[in-house]
Amino acid sequence: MNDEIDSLEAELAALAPRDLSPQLAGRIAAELEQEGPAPLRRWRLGQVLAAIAVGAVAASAVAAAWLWRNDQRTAQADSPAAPIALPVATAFDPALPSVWTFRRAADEPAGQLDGLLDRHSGRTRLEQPHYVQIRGFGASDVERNDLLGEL
Amino acid sequence: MRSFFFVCLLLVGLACPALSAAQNPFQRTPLAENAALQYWQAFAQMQSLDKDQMKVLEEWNTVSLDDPAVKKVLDAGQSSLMYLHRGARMKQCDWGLDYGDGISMLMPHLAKARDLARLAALHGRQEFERGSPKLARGDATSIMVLARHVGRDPTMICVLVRFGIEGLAVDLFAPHVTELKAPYSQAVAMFEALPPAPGVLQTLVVEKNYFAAWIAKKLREEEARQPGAGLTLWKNFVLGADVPEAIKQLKIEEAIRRTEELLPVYDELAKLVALPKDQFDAQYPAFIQKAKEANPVAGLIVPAVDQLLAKERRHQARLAMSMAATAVAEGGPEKLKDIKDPFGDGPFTYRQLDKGFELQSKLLFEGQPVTLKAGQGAKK
Repeated sequence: MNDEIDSLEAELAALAPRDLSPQLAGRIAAELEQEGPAPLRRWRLGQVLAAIAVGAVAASAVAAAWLWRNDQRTAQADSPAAPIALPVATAFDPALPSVWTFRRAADEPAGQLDGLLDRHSGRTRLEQPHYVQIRGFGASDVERNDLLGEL
Repeated sequence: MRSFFFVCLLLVGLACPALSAAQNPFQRTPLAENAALQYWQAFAQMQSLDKDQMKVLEEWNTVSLDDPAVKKVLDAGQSSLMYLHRGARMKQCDWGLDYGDGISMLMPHLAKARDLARLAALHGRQEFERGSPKLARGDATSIMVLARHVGRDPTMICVLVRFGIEGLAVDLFAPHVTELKAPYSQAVAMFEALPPAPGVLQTLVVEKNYFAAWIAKKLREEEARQPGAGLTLWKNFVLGADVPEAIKQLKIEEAIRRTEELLPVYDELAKLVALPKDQFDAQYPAFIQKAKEANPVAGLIVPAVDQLLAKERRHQARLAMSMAATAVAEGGPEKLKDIKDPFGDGPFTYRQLDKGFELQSKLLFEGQPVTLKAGQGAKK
């Protein structure tokens, strides 16, 4: 088995490429000189323009992503550090228009719901000018309505 | 290669306008097409009222239009009315309510919307009196759309406030129905084009999942957070002289269990509410009595659906009668033959009055037939 491979290797090693004939070398040189450079130039120009276009798209995408991230960052920066869920005590605060206070009023005789709406429309603020709420959530709707007049 | 080049150019072309739009703060985004934003501007423009002005709004339907306070209220409310009409032209309305807040969810827009509707009704009444029914009709239409926008959220309270605001439009419109000269078909088409709004039946899913289930979950969370906190929360629920002592004395585990056991009651209740009126009326008393006997917490948390449905039906009857009044104004009482009372087998009953006329439905509300007086505001 090894003898066969050795002889093949020797045969292959003996092979050598033929030299180009002067005619063939001349023809190739002439063709390269006459036709070669034009397609090459077109191909390179197309490549450059395509690269510019791809670059522009990429730049647009980067800019869009930057703008989007900027918006996100602004929103995050503005969000409060405290939890954003309403405290459950809000439900029972009669000064606030919560589902629970409305529900209790709706179960009462006719007129209770209207009375509650009157209170929460901010029109009874004159009756409670010194009402102060002490809790984490902040001002009641009545108080917020008062602030509107100061803006 | 050439096609690749053009694709690249196309992409660049598409990207540029998008970028310029993102950077242009004056470009109106789809978010602006939300009627609630216009309504909140209307609320913000509503000035604080003194006692006389408050009374004017409360009694918009009867107050003398010569009262100087009326002029003050209307003058001060011009901007609010403008924003109301802007909002009413928009199809979308989202008040941004967060149902995750459960029964703590705040709905500050309800009271303000009711007052804005009263202001528009006062203005509409003045326009009728001045002989400008078209302007008054614009007010009535905007009130109706505002009502539908307020009532888009499927909660009991939003639905009730919707009934109240739509009722204002009926009260504004009915006395002057003969002046409007609107064809019945046109009035019906306008009514049918209003934004859809849920009724009592559709609110039961929200009542169950976001209020009853939320209460049980919150009690459990509070107790887990700090032993005793859940019971403290429960004590808040049972405040009030009308709550039975047995419920006030429940231990926290029992309160949670009882509240959770109510959830299937809502499903049964929804099936009942979907039944025709006579079947609901026949079955509801026994159902609710049984539910309360099995679980006393039902009386505290499950809404009084029979009362709500009674209000809903009364409201439906009044709306139907206001449409029928348009037909009477257009073609006389004989036109009623073609319009069926939704709560009876035949048409509404017609009665001529000294001024205007009265329609009556077969529906009873608190033992009395539901009626609508119309045309009494017309000038002769």
